[in-house]
Amino acid sequence: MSIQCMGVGVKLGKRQVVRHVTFSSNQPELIGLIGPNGAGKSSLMRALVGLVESSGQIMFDDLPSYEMSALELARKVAYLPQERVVHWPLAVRDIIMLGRMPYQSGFGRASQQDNEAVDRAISVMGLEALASRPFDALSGGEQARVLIARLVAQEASVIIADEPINGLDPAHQIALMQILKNLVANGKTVLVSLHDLSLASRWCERILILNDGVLLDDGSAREVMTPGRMEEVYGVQIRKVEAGGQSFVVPTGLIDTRTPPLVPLDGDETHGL
Amino acid sequence: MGRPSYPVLLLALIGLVVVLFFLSLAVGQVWINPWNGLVANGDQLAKADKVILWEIRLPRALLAVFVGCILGLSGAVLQGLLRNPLAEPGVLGVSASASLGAVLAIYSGLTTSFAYALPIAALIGALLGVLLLLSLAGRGSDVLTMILSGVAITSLASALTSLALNMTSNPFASLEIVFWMLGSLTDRSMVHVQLAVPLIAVGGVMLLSTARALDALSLGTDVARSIGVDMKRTRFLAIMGTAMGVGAATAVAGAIGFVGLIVPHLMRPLVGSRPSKLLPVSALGGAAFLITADLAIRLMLPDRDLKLGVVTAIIGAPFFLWLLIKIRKRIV
Repeated sequence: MSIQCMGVGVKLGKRQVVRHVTFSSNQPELIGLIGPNGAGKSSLMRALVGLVESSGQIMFDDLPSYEMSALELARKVAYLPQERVVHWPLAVRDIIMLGRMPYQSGFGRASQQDNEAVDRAISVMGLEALASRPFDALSGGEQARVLIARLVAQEASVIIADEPINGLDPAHQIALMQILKNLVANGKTVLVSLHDLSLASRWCERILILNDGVLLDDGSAREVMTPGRMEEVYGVQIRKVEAGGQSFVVPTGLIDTRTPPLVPLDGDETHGL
Repeated sequence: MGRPSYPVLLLALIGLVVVLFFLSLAVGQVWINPWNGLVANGDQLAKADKVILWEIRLPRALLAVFVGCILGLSGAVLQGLLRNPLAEPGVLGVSASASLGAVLAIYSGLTTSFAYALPIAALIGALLGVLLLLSLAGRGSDVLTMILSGVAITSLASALTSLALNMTSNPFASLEIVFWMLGSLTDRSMVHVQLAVPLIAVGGVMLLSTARALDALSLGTDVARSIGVDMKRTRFLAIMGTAMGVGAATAVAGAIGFVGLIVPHLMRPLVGSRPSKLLPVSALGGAAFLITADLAIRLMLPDRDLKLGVVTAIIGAPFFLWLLIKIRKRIV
């Protein structure tokens, strides 16, 4: 369950969106990847799973990813993209079964093992009652759980999830962070990108701060999510709040004029939006 | 949920196609018992009936089965590949470029000197169309480029077809062009079958082999690739399979619309929308649909040479509307 990322760079067209990012993880842990919009979080994640070309070296379980076939890589690392779509109203179980594809060959009849892995994923995510329902009949929170269940069924040791809590209400956001934490307890290394600083500081034992494609910090939330750093990266003021023996980072306001104000000042409704 | 199990559904559809196939051999101006002609050596059959059965109805029925199969199948594959419920075999520009080839063969008078110039020219047209498509959208991975390239090729081919129609000085040739474009299976011979069926079969196998990848594509291109799907290979198989199969079908039957669009929609609820399961049933459903339409022509207006493509559109369009309204009602 190790991941090593050494000097990874990503170029999209002529733009270098990720520069020389180096980090590694040799134990199950929940790693939060934070940074402003356009920092290169998604590009870095896509590079890790081989969806965009990258320079540098990426290794899973000490094997360079370029030496692995797409199927071998898929057994090492599971990926949840930012865009959460299911194009046809597939049944929940059929969607989760797609996580078994790296283990199936040819026409892909599900083996005993595949069915067991899907059953486990369904029970881990508490989806028993929904297993035969079509995806489009589920609520947003349920849909998010189904897509995570697909990751679980893939049984990869590393899970990479790009903003999985986007669009969920607070209860579902917390439930989802708890689920990711449970995956870590089950031996997975989970890398998750987040925009919610308080959730990131509360749930992730390790935080990576990416800005302008550069990895600025790598450490615990307490160490790296400092007011100075948050101001520099996001242009926001933060407060550290202690509650229930846990510490949260809460953004409280804007610092500079770099980010346009959301409320127009001169009465022009469209200005700055 | 009241849905038939998959093997039962497949068997039922195969049974339906077989029954319709034999019905198609039996029904027409004269009633013929196909069993006597095909199986029991034809001893009881009059000579004329034998000729009708073997040289007129059999090629027509066979073509209806294969053309229907490939249209339904390619429609299902393209809807899955492009993740667009409006996709149909014509979306890649293959049908239009095949039509252009055929029209040029009629326009140039080649068809009068060599009977099979038409299907061969149509095949060449389809091939050129797909080469153009691959050069426009071959390396680019996004769906939109592919659809837009298909639209561009279709427009160009249609414009050139219109030009040919416009420039024809011979009114019979323009009539022939118009009639051919309506799509039909009348007066086809076993040579047409031999010309089209191998290509349709190879194209069909290529299309069927994309089934698993299409399942994965339900979750988007990124997820599909992250679980090991080779997108380049999938796209190539889908495009080349459609080009060969639908190109060959258009070459012998003309442009027959709506089958590839509506059959997958009809079948989707029966298989829980899973693309891999949708492919075989769409092929069988397409065959059943096309034979039925072809039978309807012979039964309803036997003397008027109603064109198959006209009938599929007349049945297809209202049916499609009904389906849309039904789906909307369920959502609202």
